This record gives sequence, structure tokens and C-alpha cells, in this order.
Amino acid sequence: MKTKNVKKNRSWLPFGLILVGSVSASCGLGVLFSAPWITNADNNDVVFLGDSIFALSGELQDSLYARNGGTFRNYTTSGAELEGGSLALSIRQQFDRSVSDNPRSRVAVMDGGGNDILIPAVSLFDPYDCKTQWYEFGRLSQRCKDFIDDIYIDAVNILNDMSAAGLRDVVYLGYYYPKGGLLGADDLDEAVDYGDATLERACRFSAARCTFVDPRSTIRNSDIVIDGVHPSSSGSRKLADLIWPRLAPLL
Amino acid sequence: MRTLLWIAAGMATIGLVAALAGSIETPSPRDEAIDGEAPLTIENSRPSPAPNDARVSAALGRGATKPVALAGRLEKEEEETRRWLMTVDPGMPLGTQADTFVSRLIEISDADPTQPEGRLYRARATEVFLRIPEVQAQLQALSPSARKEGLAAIRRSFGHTPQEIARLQATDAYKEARWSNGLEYMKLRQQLVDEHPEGDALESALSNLRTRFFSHEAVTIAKEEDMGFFRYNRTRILGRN
Repeated sequence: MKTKNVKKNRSWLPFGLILVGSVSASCGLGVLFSAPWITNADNNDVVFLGDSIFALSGELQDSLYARNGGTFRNYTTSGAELEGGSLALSIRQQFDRSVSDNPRSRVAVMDGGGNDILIPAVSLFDPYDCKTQWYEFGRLSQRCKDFIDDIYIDAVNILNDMSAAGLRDVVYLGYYYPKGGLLGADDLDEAVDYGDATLERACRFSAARCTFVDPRSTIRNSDIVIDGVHPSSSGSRKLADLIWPRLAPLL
Repeated sequence: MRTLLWIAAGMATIGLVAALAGSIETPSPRDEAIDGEAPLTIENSRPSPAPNDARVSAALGRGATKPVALAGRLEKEEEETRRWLMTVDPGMPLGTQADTFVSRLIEISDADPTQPEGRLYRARATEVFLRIPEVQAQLQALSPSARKEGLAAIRRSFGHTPQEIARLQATDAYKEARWSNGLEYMKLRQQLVDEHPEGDALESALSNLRTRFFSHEAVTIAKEEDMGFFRYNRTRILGRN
């Protein structure tokens, strides 16, 4: 039975419009815009896996390519989740594809887990209560913590399988605090804190030699574009500044 | 260049978003019963999410003048909407229950996972439904073949394609094997703990058991157990973990 006089949550609508804008600028129907994959790079020892923090503008990778003096392999895809998803290749699928193309990469630079938390919070009425609005006084719900604990399992399992497949080192980029913007991703600071602690634990507990890069104290609101989520040029540069010192010794 | 293109796409939406920003509908009490339901007032109607300032104004209008009372009111309304979304009728087939959930999700958030633009959140919307305790109880009570069909019916309701459903069925089988393995490990682990006093002998026996059951993942299982986390003591969410 349909209820009437419903006050609708419009917070998803800007997300949809951004999506439409991104799709229209993309290279394929029904696909979020992603910087092109590089399956055969100047340095095939390193492979990039992840979501739109890397893939939407590609500037983070470009900054690292410049420091390296050449490209790395890149499979990052906007909209990617760790394991599932219907729109973009998951992080696991990206890795499987990268191995299928060339099994010899020994270092992964990656992120993952952000969309797993963000999509329900922004697009689906925050079913796990991961947003902490002012009236929740900074208390993250147990429901959200339980949900993020399942994401820990996804992340550590992927890292372990990557290690078993021959990957030696991982540089895992965590997530910064989003800001209020067109995607409605505000009020997620506590979820980001718990999520980053969880991903850091996945990195530390995995069988891979994994280094976690925490961007929370580095990225400011001015480093994030108008959607409130993705890094601007300055943000991509700062993220590259954090990653490079961990990546360079592995090359 | 890419960033400029992306920002241009985003800027092009700002005008439309601004135009739509004022188009929030507001609830009003219903005076008449519908389909035999008791008349609703704002007090006990299913609350709807809205931008914070509109909800604050509405709550203040209902007499919640103190910040703590206001906070309690807003949190209660938010939780009531979630509860409404996730209320299912176990007497209906799982696919029908999923259809009802999808309809409610569309009503409160305009997010339709069955449409092409819903592909981004289709999997996550399905997971929200699967996490409902009553849905899990029904799935648990089914035989393996009926459970497989039940999950397929749920996924069809959310718009998953036959190819996606087949891929997810393979993932379900993989995870079922992991859980069977994990639960067998936990049983044998407990036997070792019961048989051996704490010390090197027990730790050695546990280490061997982890290696036997988890191979390259044994180091992770050990670290998890050291911090008191036993992954196979978690709640099983059929169709998800």
C-alpha cells in the first residue's frame, strides 16, 4: 500500500545528475567516466587498482607517472566496490583482469571500500545509519560498524588472494573526509574514521606486505571538488605526495 | 583537461539542482483512513527524510524547542523511516517482499535499482534487503535449492540481469564453502582449546590447524584471533557474506 504526502529525500538527485554529466563525458554508454586503463605500461611491475578517487580525473596517477618518468599499469574504475557492484569492475575483478593481462606485477597501489560505504549512505537513505548528523552527537551507529566490519573481511580477503597470486607489496590509500557538496556526502566523518581504521587493519593483518596511507590530516576542503567527494588538482597532487615516498622504494 | 571537463559537467547541473532545491514536498496529516488503516497524523505517520533545515523547522513546529528534545525527535523520525522501509511480510514470497521493498525505496529516495541508472547502487540496495533479519530467517529455513531460487527471485526484483544472477550464484557457492570450512575449523579449534592448557603446545596445535584450514590466510586468522575477532562467529548474511 502506497503512503501519501511523502517528503522525499532529494539528496540522491544531484548524484544522479553528476552521474549523467559524467556519463555524457565518458567513453561508453552506461559507464562512469574513468581515465583510460593502461594494460601495458613503461613499468609493468606496478599496477593501480581502485575507484574514482584515482579514476575520475586520472591526475593522481599522472602525478606519479611524472615522478617515475613513465607510466604504470592502471585498471582503476569509477564506481568500483571491493567485491560487488553492477556498474563497474570491482577491485577484485580489476586485479583478476590485470593478472590475466600480465601476471608479473609485484606492486599494487590501490584504494577500495569507499563506494561500499558511500553509495548506501548517499543514494539509499543511509540504511545503516552511517551518517552522523548533529543530533547524533558524533555517535556512529552499531549497525554501521557491523556493516563496515563485513567490508574489512572483503578487503583482507582480496589482499590475501593478491598476495597468493604473487603480488609482493601493496600501498593502500585510505579515504579523507568528504565535504558537503552536490553528492550529499557530508556527516560522514565518523564513518570515515571507522572505515579507515578498518582498512588499515585489513592492510596490517593481510599476508601481503601492505602500507596504509592515511590522507585525513592532509586533504582540506579546498582540495575537494564541488561534488564534495573527489579530489581537485591540488588534492590529487597531495595524495600523490603521500603515496610516492611509499612507492618509490619498492620500484 | 579531464578535470575541467568533469567540473564543466558538474557546473552544468548546478542551475538545475538549484531550481529543484525548493521543490521539497512537505507532509500533512491525513484525515481519512486508507485501506482500513487508522487515520495518520504527523505524530505517528512514517516520517520522511528532508534537508536538515526543513526537518528542524518542522520539528520546532511540533513543539520540540529544546536541542536535546529536537535531537531525539529527528533521530526518532529517521529511525522510523528506516523501520518502515525494512518491514517485510514473511507470509509473501521472497520476490514479492523484495518488490515491496523496492517500491518503498523509490518512494523515500527516488532511487530505483531496477533502472539502468540504478546500476550504481543495485548491488548495495539488494544487500540492504538481504540484511533484514526476517529475510535471512526465511532464507535460512529453505533447502539449498529453494534458497538458490529465493535469492535469484530477490535479485530479479532488484533488476539484476541473468548474467549477474549466475555470477552471484557462483559467489554464493564459493562463500558457502568458506563458511563450511570456517565452521568446521571453529569446532576443531574449540576441541583443542578444551584439550590443551594455554601455552606453547596449544598455540602450536592452533597454528597447525589454521594452516590446514586456511592455507595462505592462516596468518590473518591468527592476527584476528589475537585481537578477539572470530570471523566465523559473525552473523551470516546469506547472499552477502
